[in-house]
Amino acid sequence: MNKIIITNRGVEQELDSVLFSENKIIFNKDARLSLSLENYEGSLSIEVQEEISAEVVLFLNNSKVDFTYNIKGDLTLSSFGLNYQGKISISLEKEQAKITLYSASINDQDRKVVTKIKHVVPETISELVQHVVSLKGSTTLEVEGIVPKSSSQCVCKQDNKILNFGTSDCTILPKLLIDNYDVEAAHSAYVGKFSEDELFYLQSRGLDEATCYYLLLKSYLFGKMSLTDEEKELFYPHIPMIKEV
Amino acid sequence: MKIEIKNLTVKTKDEKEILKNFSLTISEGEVHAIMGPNGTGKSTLAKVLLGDSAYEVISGDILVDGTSILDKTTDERARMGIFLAFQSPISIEGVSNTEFLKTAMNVRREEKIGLYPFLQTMNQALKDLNMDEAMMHRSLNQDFSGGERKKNEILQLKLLEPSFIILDELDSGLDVDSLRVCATNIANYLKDHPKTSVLVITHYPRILSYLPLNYVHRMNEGAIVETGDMELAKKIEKEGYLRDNVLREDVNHE
Repeated sequence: MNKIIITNRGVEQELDSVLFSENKIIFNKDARLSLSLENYEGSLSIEVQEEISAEVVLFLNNSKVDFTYNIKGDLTLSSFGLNYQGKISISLEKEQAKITLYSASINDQDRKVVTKIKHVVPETISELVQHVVSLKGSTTLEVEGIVPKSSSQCVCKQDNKILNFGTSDCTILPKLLIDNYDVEAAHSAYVGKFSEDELFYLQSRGLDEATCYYLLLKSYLFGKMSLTDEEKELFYPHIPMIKEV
Repeated sequence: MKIEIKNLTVKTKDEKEILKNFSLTISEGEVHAIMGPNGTGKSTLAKVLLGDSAYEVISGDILVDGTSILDKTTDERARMGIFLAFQSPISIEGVSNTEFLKTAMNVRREEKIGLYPFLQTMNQALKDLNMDEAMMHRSLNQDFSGGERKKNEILQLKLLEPSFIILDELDSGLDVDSLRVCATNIANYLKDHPKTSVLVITHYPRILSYLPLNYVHRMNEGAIVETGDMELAKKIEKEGYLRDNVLREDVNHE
C-alpha cells in the first residue's frame, strides 16, 4: 500500500513500493498510490520509469498545485479536485509510454486549469478525460496536445466537459498542435447541463430529481475511475445535492 | 389501472402541435396497440403519459383511475405505477444496473428491500429473460447491444411491477428469439398481474400475437383514425399507411 498525504502542516506517508522525496514521486516498480493534497500550494513531479505500470488516485482538496509528469511507462491517473487550480505538464518520453487521465473537479470559486501533453517520442498515447462541475464562479480549462513531426503513430485524445450550474461563464480552450499526418487525435468539448433525456429516463423509473442528479453526477465525475471502497467513501460525500437547476 | 386520455392536444417547445384532440380509454387489464406512420405522435403520446417536460399539454386531460395526473411529475407518475419501456434506452456510465434497479425499487417501497431478496428477485428475472448475470454489474445499458437494452427494459418492468405498461417499439432492434422471450415475459407478467393495462406502440403485428390483445388503433397526424382488432394490425402490415396519404391528399385537394 502506498499513501501520501500532503497538507500545509506537513507530510504523512506510508510507502512500500514508491519512492518519494523533495516533491518528487518515482515509480520504479508496478504500484498504486493514493495521494492527497489538502490546502496545499506548491509543485509536485511524478516520474514513471520504463516498462512500469503505475496507478495514482489523487485527491486535491482546495489546493493550487502545478504537476509535472515524466512518463516512460504506463500511468493511469484518477484525480478528484475540490476547487483545484494549477498547471499540469505531461511529457511522454519513451515509445509505448501512455497516460490515461480521468480528472473530476467540483468548483464553487473561479478556477483555471491548464493541461499540456507533449508526445516527445513516437508511438505514445495520451487519453484525457476532464469533467468539471461548476456550482459558482467561472471555470476555465485550457488543454493542449502537442505532437511534433518526429513523433509518428501517436494517439492524442481529449474529452473536456463542464456542467455549469452557476451563472458565470465557463470556458474550454482546446488546442491540438499536431505536426504529423499519422496521428490518431480527437477532441470533444462541452459546456452545459445534463441532457433532459437522461433525467427523464431516470425519473421515469420513479427516482426524484435529487436522486437522479446524484446518480448522474456520480457517473459523470467518477464513472471511469477505478476506486477502492475507502476512496469512494472519501469522494462520494462531496457530490453536490442539486434539486432544481 | 384505468387510463383515460381525453381530448388531449400537445405541442412541443417549438410550438409544433403533435397530438390533436387525442382520446383513448384503456380499462383495467386491457391491452391496446397503436400503429401509425413515423412522426404521427406515437412516441410523443408515450412520453406525455409520463409527463415529459419537453411537451406542453394545451388542452384535455389524462386520468388514472378517475384522477387527473397532469399536475404530477414524471417520477410521481412512475411511482403511481406507470412504466415506459423506451424505444431507445439511454446508457449511464458509472451507475451499475444493480444500483439503479435497487434504488428504483426502494423509492416505491415503505420498507427498503434487503440485499438477499433483491438478488433473488433479480436473478430469477435474469434467468427468465435469458440474460447474463454479469450484465447486472455493468454500467446501466453501457456497451449493451440494442437487444440487450430492450431486455433490460423488461427486466426493470418485472422488478418494478407497474400497473400500466407502455411499450414504445419494443420490437425494434430485437431478433425473433429475443422478441419472443421479451413478449412471453410480459404475457406471463400480465397473467400474474391481471389488473395491469398495456399500451403497445408498434409497427408490426408479431409482438401483438404474444399478448392478450383487446384493441388495435391506427393513428395518423396526432389522432386515432381507426380502431379494430388483430385483423387491423395484419391489414396495416399488408397494406401499409399509404392510404392515409391518399386520404390526406384528397382532403387537401378539396
